[in-house]
Amino acid sequence: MSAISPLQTSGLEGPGSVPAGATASAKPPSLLLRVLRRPIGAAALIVFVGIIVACAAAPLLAPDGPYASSLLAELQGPSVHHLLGTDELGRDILSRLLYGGRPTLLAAAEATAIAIFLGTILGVVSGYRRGLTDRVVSLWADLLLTMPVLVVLIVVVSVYPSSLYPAMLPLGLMLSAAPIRVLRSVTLAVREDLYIDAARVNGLTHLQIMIRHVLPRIRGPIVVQATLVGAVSVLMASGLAFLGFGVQVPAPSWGSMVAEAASEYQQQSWFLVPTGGAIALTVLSLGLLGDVLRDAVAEQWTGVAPRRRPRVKSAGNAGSIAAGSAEAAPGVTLSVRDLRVTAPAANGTDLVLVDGISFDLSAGRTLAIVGESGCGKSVTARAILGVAPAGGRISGSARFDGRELVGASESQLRAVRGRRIGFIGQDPLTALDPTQTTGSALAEVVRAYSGCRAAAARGRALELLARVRLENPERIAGLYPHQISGGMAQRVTIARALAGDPEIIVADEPTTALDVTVQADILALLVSLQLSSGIAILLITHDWGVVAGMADEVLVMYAGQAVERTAAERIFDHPQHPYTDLLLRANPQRAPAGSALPSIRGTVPEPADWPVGCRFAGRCPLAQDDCQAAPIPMLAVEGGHESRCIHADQLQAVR
Amino acid sequence: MNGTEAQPVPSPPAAKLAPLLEVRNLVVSFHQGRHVFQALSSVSLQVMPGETLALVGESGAGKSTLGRAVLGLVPVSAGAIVFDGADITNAGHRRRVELARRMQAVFQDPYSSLNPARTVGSALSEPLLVQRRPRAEIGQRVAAMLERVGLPEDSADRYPRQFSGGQRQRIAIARALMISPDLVICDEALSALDLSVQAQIINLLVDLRRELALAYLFIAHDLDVVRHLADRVVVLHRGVVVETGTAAQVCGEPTETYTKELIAAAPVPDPRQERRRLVARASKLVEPE
Amino acid sequence: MLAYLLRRLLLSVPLLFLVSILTFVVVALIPGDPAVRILGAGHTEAEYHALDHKLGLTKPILTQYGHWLGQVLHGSLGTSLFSLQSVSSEVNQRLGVTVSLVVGATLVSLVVGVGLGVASVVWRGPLGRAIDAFSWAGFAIPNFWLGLILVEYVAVKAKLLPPSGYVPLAQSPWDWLQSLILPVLTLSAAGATGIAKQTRDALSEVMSREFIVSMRLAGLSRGTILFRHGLRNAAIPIVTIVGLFAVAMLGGTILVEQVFVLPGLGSLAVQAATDHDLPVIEGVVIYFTLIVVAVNLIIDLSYALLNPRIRIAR
Repeated sequence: MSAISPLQTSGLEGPGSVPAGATASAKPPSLLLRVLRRPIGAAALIVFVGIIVACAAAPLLAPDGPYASSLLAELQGPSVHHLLGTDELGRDILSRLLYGGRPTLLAAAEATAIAIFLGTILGVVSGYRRGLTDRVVSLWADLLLTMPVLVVLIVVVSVYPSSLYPAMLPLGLMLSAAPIRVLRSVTLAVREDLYIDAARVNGLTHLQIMIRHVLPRIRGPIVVQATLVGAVSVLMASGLAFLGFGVQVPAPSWGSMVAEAASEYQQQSWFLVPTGGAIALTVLSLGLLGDVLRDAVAEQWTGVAPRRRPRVKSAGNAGSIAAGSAEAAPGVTLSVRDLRVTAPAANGTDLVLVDGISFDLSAGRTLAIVGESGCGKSVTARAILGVAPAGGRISGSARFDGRELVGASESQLRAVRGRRIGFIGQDPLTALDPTQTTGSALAEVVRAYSGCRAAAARGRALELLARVRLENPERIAGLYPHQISGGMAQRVTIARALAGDPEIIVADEPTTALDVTVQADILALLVSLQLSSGIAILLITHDWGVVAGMADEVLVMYAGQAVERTAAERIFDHPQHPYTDLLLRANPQRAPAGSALPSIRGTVPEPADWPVGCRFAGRCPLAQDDCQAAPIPMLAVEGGHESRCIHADQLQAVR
Repeated sequence: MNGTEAQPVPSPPAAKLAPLLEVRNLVVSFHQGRHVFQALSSVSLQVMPGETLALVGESGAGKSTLGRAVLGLVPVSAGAIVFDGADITNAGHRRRVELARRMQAVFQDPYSSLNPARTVGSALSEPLLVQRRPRAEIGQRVAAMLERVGLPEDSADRYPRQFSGGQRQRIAIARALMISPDLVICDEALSALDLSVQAQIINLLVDLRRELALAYLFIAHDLDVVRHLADRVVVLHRGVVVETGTAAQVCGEPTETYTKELIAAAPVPDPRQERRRLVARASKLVEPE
Repeated sequence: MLAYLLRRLLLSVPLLFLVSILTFVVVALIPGDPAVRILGAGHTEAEYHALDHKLGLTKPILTQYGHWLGQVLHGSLGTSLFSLQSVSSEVNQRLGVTVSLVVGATLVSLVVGVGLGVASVVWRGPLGRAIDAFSWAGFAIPNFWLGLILVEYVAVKAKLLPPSGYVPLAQSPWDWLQSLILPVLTLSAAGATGIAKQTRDALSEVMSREFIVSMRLAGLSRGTILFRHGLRNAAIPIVTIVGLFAVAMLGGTILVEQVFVLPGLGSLAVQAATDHDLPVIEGVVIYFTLIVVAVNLIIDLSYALLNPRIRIAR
């Protein structure tokens, strides 16, 4: 989707973006606490609530009455008797502000309540029911948005000139248009969630679902809309009062006091400050409070304060020199030693995501890195090209063609990326710019690599599309990503990876998102490319079948580390690490139908919980005391087979 | 062999077993603007009590649509869905509430199947609330079910985001079993899970099946899992039933071309065989989509 | 795409009608009597009835509306009850001011807002944090107050620019510009900060998406990625907010015109409301609505241009 997700801008965070640790942590802190934990939140809450309370308690708190005038004390600046000075009739400004806040804030509250009430009901119902209801409500919202708000308000307020409140009804009505729109689009998205389906299966009525599931889920956006509408209402109410509508002199109200200050500013310029300042301060605190509330609500179900701007940047040189940089053997295209990637966690500490990976990749061969989710294999693949997760750092060594990639500058890395080492990602449809045709995307990289002219680039783009066996390249070149299937899109990304005639292709789960028949075609394509061009492939996968077909050598990862490395033929029949062994046996294909599958008890430990010794020991059937005593190195088993297990010999016995 | 030890004992041997769920010539169409797309074209199948029927196919085959039509989430254009002898096609609200006691579902995405704004306990008690059970009973049953699926007791007060994908799927399974249904529709319930987690969940499903005499309509695309779990298999391709048979037959010796293609495409963890296959396929690269 | 635009255009017509009806009804409910106000105190019964009849105020509401509608379809907006000038001419005189203000403020907000937003993503760090901090500030400061402060300090004390009054473009371009600088700045404060924040948010979100990473991995330069791909994908939410602020600024002209004493549509609206001058109110509402419709159409056009899914006929 090219548009920004309405979920994100309206304050609705995804439900599963950050799965937390295996053991459920303690009950999360309340909303209030989460707001107060943030300095801006605390300040905004205190100020806003303070203003409301102060104005509400005006009769108790105000030093003087709102009409108490003193002709001797006109237009004075702040003093001990009059903290905010006096106005043109000698009345205490602070008192008048406190009293004046009441009609303004009450009016704003009235409009906001109406707007949010209507906005929530109409927005949720139209987003949930869709169809005719949705079309009618959307037209209604469009109509409301087209009305010139302030003009209409002025007209209404001229009917009832002495009070703001009657005008708040049409204001609330007109302001409901934005919440209707936003809450509708948020509801549309939430409606596709599966717990809604589960509720329907359980026989809940649509109304029950809307109340029990949709409303709590969209709390965040509702709060955000309430603060936005509230802020606008305060500005509108005071704007009307400034124009002289809705207030009966001499009753104070914030807007009319600004008008008074305006006419007196030649004599006393200070007068303008507290009068306008009150309005600005209220709106500001309300707005900031809304921002913090949105973040705090989102935190409740993502578990982390949402990182608002996850950035992917070239990780700087983390300092440590490559350990044991032995000379690479001839024919080795890429030599990785002790690759380490860290990234900052939500609480500020550094998490290790990849903990010392080493391997060699030779021309014309395929190395598969296998592991389950969270083991760090994808991070490894990207780190080789100098791309780390937000704020992360890469250390260790990755030598390619005599140069060191780790710690290289952005321009040095760009000389390698795509041009010498191509990359294919997991989800082809999100790997392409949705606003760009496939042909244009390919032509762009061709031009970037070779500097050739547009026509030549276009021709090369078509060649590339043909090379990945896409029928009718001209037609495909003119299509956008949303117009082609997943399999075709993956071929396009392969074409892009080939554009620079690379020596290595890094394929990060290239077939996971595809159907099995398409998968086979894509893998076959990669194999044929390798056979014809001698490209080395670094294949990241979790699928042992893919490993079986593609890999010459296999590296198994667990909890950020390599736990086993060997030739592909050996690993299936002679795994030398309990994790690999159990993982292979968990495949239902190898077990008799209906029987209990050998499964690994427990779950993968989080980076924060990695023990000193073997990281698999907590789940391993062969674990003994010495496993947890100290870090386990990669041990040579025989003939190039390595394993990070000191009791691998017992594996034979167990099987 | 076919998981016979996992088969529960059905009703008295003398009685002829009637299908628990029967789908007859089901047609489901969607309208996208002026374009009409037929997701299911006259599909028929049966699930016997205590049996696991797998529905396999690739994306777009219509298998999820079938599951959703049976659950009443998608309107039916033609044909019938019969549950335990009663026609439930396009059933009304009251019928659905009754049906919920006997037919439940576990969905694919563990992150989307639980409302992040509600606690686990709230999700689990939902089926019972609709059936109007007393609060005390609900609390007890929630605790019992959590233990049954292998989750800590205090999970009920926590939010879904505090659990991993595999654990959330356990919660979803627990929710489906709260009212002791006869049939559970698993819509790609394993597809989003890691291999080791998948094995755990498969074991759980097998145990529960034996213990509670459950029938499963198991929708999947992974033939290995299907071969392991299912008694019978139905193969779906572009909304049409292509082949039906026992798991051993369909997965081992299929008769239809499409099924053979599916099996041929599924990778086998045997490097020699698989490598040969891929190279053979590479050399005769067919014109793509 | 043409079909899409035509559809949007056609939808606007009934909207205009509905808005005019609604306004008519609202104003008709006003208990005050224009005839009384025109004649002032001390009028005779006969004079009152004569004027009432002449102004057509004795007829039922629907007839009045029908009469007005008929006039409109003939290209006339009627005459003001007070000035007796034709509504169209009154409005046209003032249209230039308001349009200059709104267009000027939109342009300034757009350029400054998008510029700051993009800059904060390119040069990460203090600029971004400043934008986050000040975006609400820009919105929270009431525009009438800001205007007054600018008048006081820039115009009166520093004497850099005129404090009030409007000089038509035709008379003197330089003076015209000078008379507009402060009002436009006042009006665009909220817009600039709001657009900056939204640009920043939208662009950052796009830059965190998968296809941006895959372009980096393909070796494209940061500049190319940001400006060609990032902006293009962030354009829709940015355009949306620019549209929203443009409409909001249209309302804001009412207040700003008061502060800077500009003879625009806004001050006409205030005047007409006070006088209960129904034809003028209707005329002003119609014009305002037309401008809003025009802005929305431009936004819709941009959507179609920016989003391939809309552009390609299904």
